[in-house]
Amino acid sequence: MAASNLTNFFPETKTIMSTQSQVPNIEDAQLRADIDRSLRHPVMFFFTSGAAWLAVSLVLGIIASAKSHNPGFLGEWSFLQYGRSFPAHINALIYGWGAQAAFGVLIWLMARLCRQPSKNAGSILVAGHIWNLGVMIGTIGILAGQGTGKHWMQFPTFVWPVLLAAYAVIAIWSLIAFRCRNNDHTYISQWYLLGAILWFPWIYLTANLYVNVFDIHPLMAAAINGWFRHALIFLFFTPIAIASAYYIAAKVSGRAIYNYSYSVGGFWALAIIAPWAGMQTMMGAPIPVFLQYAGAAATMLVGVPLIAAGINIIKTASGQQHTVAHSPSLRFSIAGVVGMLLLAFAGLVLAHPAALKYTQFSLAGYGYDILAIYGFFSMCMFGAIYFIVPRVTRREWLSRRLIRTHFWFSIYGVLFIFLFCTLLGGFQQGAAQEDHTQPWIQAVKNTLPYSVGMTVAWCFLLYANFFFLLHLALMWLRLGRRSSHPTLLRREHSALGPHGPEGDIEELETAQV
Amino acid sequence: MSTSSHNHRDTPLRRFNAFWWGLAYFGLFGLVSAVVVSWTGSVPDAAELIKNDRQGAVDTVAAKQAEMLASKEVQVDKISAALQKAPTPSNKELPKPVIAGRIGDPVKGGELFKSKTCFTCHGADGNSPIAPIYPKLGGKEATYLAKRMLDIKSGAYATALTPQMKPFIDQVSEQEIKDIAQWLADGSK
Repeated sequence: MAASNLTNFFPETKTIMSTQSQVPNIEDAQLRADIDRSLRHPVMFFFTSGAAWLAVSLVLGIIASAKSHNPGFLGEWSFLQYGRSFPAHINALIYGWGAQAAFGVLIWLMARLCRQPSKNAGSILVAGHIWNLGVMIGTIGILAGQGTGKHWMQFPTFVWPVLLAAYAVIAIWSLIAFRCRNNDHTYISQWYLLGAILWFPWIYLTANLYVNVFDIHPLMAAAINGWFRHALIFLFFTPIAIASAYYIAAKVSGRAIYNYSYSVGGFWALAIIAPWAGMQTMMGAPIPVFLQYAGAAATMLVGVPLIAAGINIIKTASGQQHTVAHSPSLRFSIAGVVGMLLLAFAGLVLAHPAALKYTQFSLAGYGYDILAIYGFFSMCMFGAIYFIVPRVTRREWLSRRLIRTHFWFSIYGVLFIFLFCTLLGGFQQGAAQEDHTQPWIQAVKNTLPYSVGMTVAWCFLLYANFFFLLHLALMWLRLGRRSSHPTLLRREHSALGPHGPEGDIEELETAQV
Repeated sequence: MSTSSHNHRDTPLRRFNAFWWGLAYFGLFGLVSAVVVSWTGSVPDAAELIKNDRQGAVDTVAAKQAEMLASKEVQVDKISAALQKAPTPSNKELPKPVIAGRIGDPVKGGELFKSKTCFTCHGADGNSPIAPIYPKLGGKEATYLAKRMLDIKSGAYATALTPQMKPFIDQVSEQEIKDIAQWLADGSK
């Protein structure tokens, strides 16, 4: 990304780098404002409803986690028993929060990078409502006992075609935007976004057809379900998170990507390795053995593209500790990238065939999923949301304290989950289950402290995201600060800073005109 | 949106194409999967499969049994025919059968049991020891007895009782041990 291109995109950068680019490009600013305005309704809808689903998912997660160590919690309400609250929690997390945050970032980022205002915000918004309706019916279906019992596909079977159709209507316009893009350079984020757009229907349609529609051998259906979960992480959530982190790192630090070749190499490595991952969840089952070992190898090797992207992004922002600390977008994105590196490490440790004996049937798999979805993907999405929302609402975030609370409690929660669930709890439980000289209850007892730790972690995350939802809802209602200064995570807004004297953004613009 | 009008790529035809190719791509994998599955066929009902498997096993067993019964009848017929035309017995003395596994001469063994003073503890027949904790030997397997005696002699087998046995067994050679063992195994008479 050339420096001049970059400054054209980003007013803050422009003023920081004023020595390089003295003349602000009014036309470019107008174009950016047009793009933001064109997509403001669907983007805000995806983010706000996504955050609401995240809160729902976290409440259900706390209930499920609490029931795993206190089965009497909440008495005998059948719709909140573990077998319902847990799948409702994980499906709300993936389809309610994860997918919707991804859609919001996807459509906005693609429009910005293609330099084209969207002409289809209306259809996207309608499809977004249909998606929400699908997720709501699905979640209620699970709580009512109509779940399918297939991991990550627990919504009643009729929901998936609805979600797929809604996805098509949401994502097709970004594909068109790319085909009709208004510039010749293809940014690395566009590679990743395009990958995610094209991979999702492949994964979602194929997996659902084989598992829910075709009459195939049930063992193979279970293996395909394992593949589906890993493909959804590595081929949908991962590319969107990486695209957003690349964009934010370059924008906010005001630099070009550290190494473009690495980033493209990382993309193709992900495209080649990631589709093989997943079937190690069936290690030892009577399915073809090469599938199990290919799955284990791919889950370990997927660390290569993750590390390539991670190093590249961190290198892009390196040496700018103050920017990383003060910009909420960059701080969350870099935390997400660190989560991505932890995920690469966790894949290496957990999917090793020698470790699978301990991790295959323990907490570790759940911990890995949460690390991927929250520690990596969601942190990158929060970074993107803190960047995008002020631009589409033309209001600044209200409170740096709310942002800080969101950040630190997210970090505490996800670190708890990584330590207690992914690593310690997973191996401890696995080893206790393997010890055939001890009664089974011993394995359950050994896991107890880690289960309690998980409940505490979910409480941290709920605390963090309750304030995030509140903050976002206020922004959605356009109750943000009417200021020309972005909300940065430091005490004072200096009048000598790069943004000039602070004032009402709309009054300033009227005055300029 | 004045700036977007400069975009030479953004034509209605291109948008139209991208839309339909995109949608076709989104559905492509479903179509491919459907074709693959309809070609490879689906799994028949599990109960039906098990039933077929069981019937197959029953049929195989019945066929094998019938075959064996037929061949048995033929063999029985052959044997009875052979017996019927068996020759009359001759008066020639048959050679003494050599039983596999005989390790010594029981006649010498019986004499040695007395001359080497084994009988003083184990009794004249090897089965009436003077103390109840001494073992009864008669009728036990010859190689077992020989191995025990040899092990006591070499010291490989040692219990609380073997020191009493040791001075006696030291006077007996390996071949003599085997003879004694054979005599005991043959019934010690």
